[in-house]
Amino acid sequence: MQQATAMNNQIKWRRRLNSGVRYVLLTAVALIMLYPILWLFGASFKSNAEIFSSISFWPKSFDFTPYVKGWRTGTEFTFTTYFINTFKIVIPKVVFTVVSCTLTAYGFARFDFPGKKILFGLMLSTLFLPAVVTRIPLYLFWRNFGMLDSYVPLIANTVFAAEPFFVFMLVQFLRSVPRDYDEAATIDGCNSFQILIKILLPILKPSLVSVALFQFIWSINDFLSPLIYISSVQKYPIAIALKMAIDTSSGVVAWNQVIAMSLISLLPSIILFFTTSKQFVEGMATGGIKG
Amino acid sequence: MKVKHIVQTASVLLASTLLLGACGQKKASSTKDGDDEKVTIRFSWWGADDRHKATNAAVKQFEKENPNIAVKTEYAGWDGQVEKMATQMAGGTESDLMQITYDWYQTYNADGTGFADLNAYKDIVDLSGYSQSMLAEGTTKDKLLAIPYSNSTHAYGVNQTVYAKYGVDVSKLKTWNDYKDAAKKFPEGSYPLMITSFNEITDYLGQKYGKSFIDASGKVSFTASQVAEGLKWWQSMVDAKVTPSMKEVMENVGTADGSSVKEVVNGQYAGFAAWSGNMAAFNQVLKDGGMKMTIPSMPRIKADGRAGSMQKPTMLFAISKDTKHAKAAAKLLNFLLNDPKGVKTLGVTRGLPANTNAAKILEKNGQVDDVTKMAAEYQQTTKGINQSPYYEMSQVLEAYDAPMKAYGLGQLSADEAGKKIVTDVKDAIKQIKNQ
Repeated sequence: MQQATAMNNQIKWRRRLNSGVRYVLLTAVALIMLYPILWLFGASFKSNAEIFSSISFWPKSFDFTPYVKGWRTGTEFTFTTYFINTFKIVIPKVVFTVVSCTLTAYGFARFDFPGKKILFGLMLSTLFLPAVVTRIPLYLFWRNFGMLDSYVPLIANTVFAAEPFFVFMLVQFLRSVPRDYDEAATIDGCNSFQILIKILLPILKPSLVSVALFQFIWSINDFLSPLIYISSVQKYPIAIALKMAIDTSSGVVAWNQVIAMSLISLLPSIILFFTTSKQFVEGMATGGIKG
Repeated sequence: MKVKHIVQTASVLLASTLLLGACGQKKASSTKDGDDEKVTIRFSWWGADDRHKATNAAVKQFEKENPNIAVKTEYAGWDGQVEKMATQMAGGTESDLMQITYDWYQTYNADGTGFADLNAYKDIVDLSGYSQSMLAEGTTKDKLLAIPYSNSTHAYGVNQTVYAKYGVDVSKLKTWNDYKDAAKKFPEGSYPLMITSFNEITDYLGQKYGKSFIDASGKVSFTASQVAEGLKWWQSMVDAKVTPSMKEVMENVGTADGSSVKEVVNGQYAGFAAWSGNMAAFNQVLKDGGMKMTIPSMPRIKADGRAGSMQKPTMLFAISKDTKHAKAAAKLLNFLLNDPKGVKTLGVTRGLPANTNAAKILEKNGQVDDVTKMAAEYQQTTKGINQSPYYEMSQVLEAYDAPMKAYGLGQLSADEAGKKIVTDVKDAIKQIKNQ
């Protein structure tokens, strides 16, 4: 009896040690991975000299003026304007992408029509088309429509599912969903649109979350297209606003303000990611399995 | 068959876009504005916060004085400006008045038709404060296409505090040999100067031969063996521990701006070469760390020798060739360049104006800060050599930068690198001209 409890204790102790080591290791690695973000946070309180010379994240003093000054910016507008602008671009983009890519993927995955293979190939080939090649023609195109300096050129392509990566991802996912569901639904009297809405969409949900999340993060980070299409400062999104103050050739850049604002600009993406992370991980995991 | 069809459709589409584009441009230039009509002009620039604030304020003052002209300001940081300019010039949608770099001047203007000829607005824009040679920098084929706002000279700044610590008097730094002597007093791992780019070698060659590396027409002025001589001089500076080796420079500096390099901030690299307009950033970062910067006279081969440092216009103002409101744009340009109010409001946010009238106004008003003054004095006392607008174009820069690095890392001999630099730069310029 005594021997048994001793054995038991030994096992318990070993287990504890085991998980203890694991936690210490994981915490250490997580800290290393998160250090740049921590450093960024610390750097928002530092002077330029401190930022460039020290890798310790702890600033000499805490002072929130960089946040206040950064929010006010050196322009006629504050970051509030730039945040609102960003959402004016990003939200329609995400909504349109999800709707149009789902419809397109549904078409490619479930229907047979003449030229399907070639069209699918063509769509995929646009994935490999460098954006540089189309930049100037597209610019001229929108100029001739008189739509420069508006958000239309930034959003329009998402209405037409011009994001081959997402279409491809959804097609792959749909292929893994057995056609038996569709057939059962047809027998129950669903038409093809109802099949999509009632049967496939609920199954697709994790994938759609991934699409929305990717599109959100990519659009919020997109710098060059807004810069090229939008010329009014009052219409700038945060991606440009963040770099408004950066010109190393002309005097002193207040890096702490830039860093403070970058941190704040990270928030929407981070919040969105954490609220949807369960679905997102599921979407990534199941998207990879093919039936 | 199918493929052919697609190609046909695509080319028809492309052709129609181009045609439409051409139509749009014609329409733009055919309408003319009267003087009393209310017009809106666009004015674009890049910069950092203080420049944005000052320029916006100056524009507001201008609008108050000219109620018929509304100015839409379009500004941003430096990032992406090259791409933005390229698309706008391609689309004919560039701003009416714009701030441009010296290499854009060449890129969009090789045939002298890229911008509006400012000679036509001489009655509006007062050019009396400019010397002939300054205006020549913005002139192609007798057309004045851009007006330089300020000039930059390649300068050598030093960290006075660190020099004093090792017992070197910075006011006695006159020749390259003085720096070699200073290096002897510096401990291992600290250097009196950092040579990081081909610019410093161009300076040396300029001193030696009194010519710019590339001339205004795009001709390379030096032979391969002369360039090799410059490279060997650089190596002698490395050997004398004046400057860190290429390997160390690549590890510690890379492509970063000098003022953001750790070794500069903590005083390990106690000297730096940069355009005079950049010196303010160095000054600030050293001041933050409790140190003092100064700009000694340009180091030379002999104390009484030629200075020969590179010199270029930093920013130019140009008026779009497609503008409908050239007169209004010219009025704004004159306000910024000459009007005491405009000049005072802009201050030195674009460096000390090349326009001597404007510079006097600022000096009288006490708006010239110490670093700008130091840089300006350096500029006045240093007889520089005008650098070609080709010099900083990315293709050309790549052509001399890569072999220089290869030499610094010991992958090429001085002769090989010199030969490669001369041929590659010639090829790059030829390519640019053929575009």
